Amino acid sequence: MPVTVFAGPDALRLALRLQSPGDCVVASNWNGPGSVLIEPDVAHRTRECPCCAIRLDLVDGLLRAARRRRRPRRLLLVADPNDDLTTMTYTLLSDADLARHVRLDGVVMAVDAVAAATRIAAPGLIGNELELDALAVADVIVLGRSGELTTDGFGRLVSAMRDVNQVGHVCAPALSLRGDDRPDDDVVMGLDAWHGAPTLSAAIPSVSRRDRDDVPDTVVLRQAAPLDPDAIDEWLTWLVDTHARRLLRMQGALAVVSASARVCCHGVRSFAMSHSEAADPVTSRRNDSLVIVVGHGLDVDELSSGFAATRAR
Amino acid sequence: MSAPLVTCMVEQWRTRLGDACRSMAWSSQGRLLVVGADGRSLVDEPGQVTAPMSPDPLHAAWLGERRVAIVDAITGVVFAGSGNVDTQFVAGARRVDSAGGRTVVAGSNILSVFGHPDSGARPDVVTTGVGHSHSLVHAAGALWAVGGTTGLALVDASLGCVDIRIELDGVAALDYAPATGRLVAADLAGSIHVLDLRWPERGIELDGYPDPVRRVAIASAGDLVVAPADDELTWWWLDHSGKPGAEPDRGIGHDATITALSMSADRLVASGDASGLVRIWSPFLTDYPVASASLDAEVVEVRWSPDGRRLAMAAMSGEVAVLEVTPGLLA
Repeated sequence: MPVTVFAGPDALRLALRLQSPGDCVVASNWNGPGSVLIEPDVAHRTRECPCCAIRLDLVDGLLRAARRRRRPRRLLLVADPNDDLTTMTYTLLSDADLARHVRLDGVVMAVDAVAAATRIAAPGLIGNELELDALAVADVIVLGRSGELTTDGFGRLVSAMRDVNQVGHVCAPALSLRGDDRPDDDVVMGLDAWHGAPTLSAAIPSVSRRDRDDVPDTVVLRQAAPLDPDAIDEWLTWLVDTHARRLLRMQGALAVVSASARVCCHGVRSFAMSHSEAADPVTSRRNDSLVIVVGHGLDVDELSSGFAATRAR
Repeated sequence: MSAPLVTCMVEQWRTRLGDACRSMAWSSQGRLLVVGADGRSLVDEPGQVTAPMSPDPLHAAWLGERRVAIVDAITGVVFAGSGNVDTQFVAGARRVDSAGGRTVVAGSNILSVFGHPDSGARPDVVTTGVGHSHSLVHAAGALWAVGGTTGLALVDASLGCVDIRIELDGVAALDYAPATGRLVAADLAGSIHVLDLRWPERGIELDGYPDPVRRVAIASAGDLVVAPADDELTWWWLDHSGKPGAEPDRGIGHDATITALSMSADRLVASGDASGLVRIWSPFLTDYPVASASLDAEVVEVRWSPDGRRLAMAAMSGEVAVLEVTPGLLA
């Protein structure tokens, strides 16, 4: 069952607008028809280890929503403004009981364009640390009320969003032909964006450096030749071991010498998983490898040289 | 190959609730309560299903033989039976239990103690200090153990205070052996802790699991602990001092993830899995089940009656069955 996570200041409003019959909203600040109420409850798999933090209320709430005689079509999980999205995605991907029932489909960042444009005009950051982390890993950024901005203001806002997230799709439904400020259902849901090969425009640069520590880095690593299986395995282990506390999202598709299909990998914090791309629709060239790493304080040169060294000799 | 333990199992009845099972409870005299996700409850037998009593039920318990308590994420706790229904708000209510004239509801960092049967009275509220409650078991007299996000608390409901608090990470399951005063607690870190409530400082840890342990059971005599992890069952025999006597028995118990566990008064263990299979195990023959049954979807609960003669099992699909089980003897 797909789970779409809605984050950002407008998350609940957007989720409720998109809720269709058969969908279940899981939220801590909403108790309506077809919803499950949760209350943030963070525990640690290893005492006081921040990269092992898990949301027990999500495990319980999503299982309550999913384990029904008539199962919901989709789950719309709403993050509270104070929620750490990384703990939520880590929980969704790493909990074995959840994995039997639900699959993280995508992260949608719901932004009030007018409020965000006002903030960046100050000048200031587009959000606080939790919002920036969520924005950096979002698959879709929905700019609500964007029709109320000037063309210049809208351009500056999109540019500010792109400075934090180069990969996600930016959507301004108020500017669409329909103009009713509601994104199309298939733009924000049904993405299956956290399990298969990442999709990325070739125009996106390999690295993006940040001037401020509180804005997450995004590093895009590419290789157009097959990789050594042992070397890439070792590099991925190193990546997770040394970056777990600051790894917000890692996703890749790897062309490995010994594998008939590319190997898809994804992870958050200390969790990482891989599977053959054959399980997903084959969409890309077999010899191209691509890894996107989003996190804090990433050493771009170290990551790039380490990944380059995994090329098969 | 036939088992040396000849255990007979006869299905008493089978039915289907309108929604998935959320909780099951036996009364001390063998009355059965099965609560569905739609808030309706089956009482004793298939024809007796109540109207919805709770919008999002989580757990239930009998209060004697004529009333029940159902906790719920939204309303708190619902007391029903003997012709009336009463609701009391308990913040973050997750677990309920009743013994010795008291009903306790474990919530967000609290244990609310209701004087049974006058459930309308305001409860005494004890701060547990263990965060959100995830597990609850009656120990002895007025003592209840509460497992929470940050630890384990032993609460004296008569005095309204916490006797012992131990820091553990996410205590998801608890069980108690009255004959020896041993409490077993399983946590997110993959450890199982055995505490002797008479000498709490003598606790031991049974570790070695890579995954969180969400289910655990201890024999009423306190000499056997069993816990599942994925498709495996692990068995520890404990000596008189509570220490494991030898290496634990460990074996693949199911082809799918084990999702439910219960141990009977005769030390028979029932385990249910994600495919709907229920198996019954003897601790003397841990590599082969002594009986099997099945439901049509993931098993969400298996529960032995207090006398160990009946086993209730329920699935995500709402299917519920009760089996009559006669334990065999060693051949």
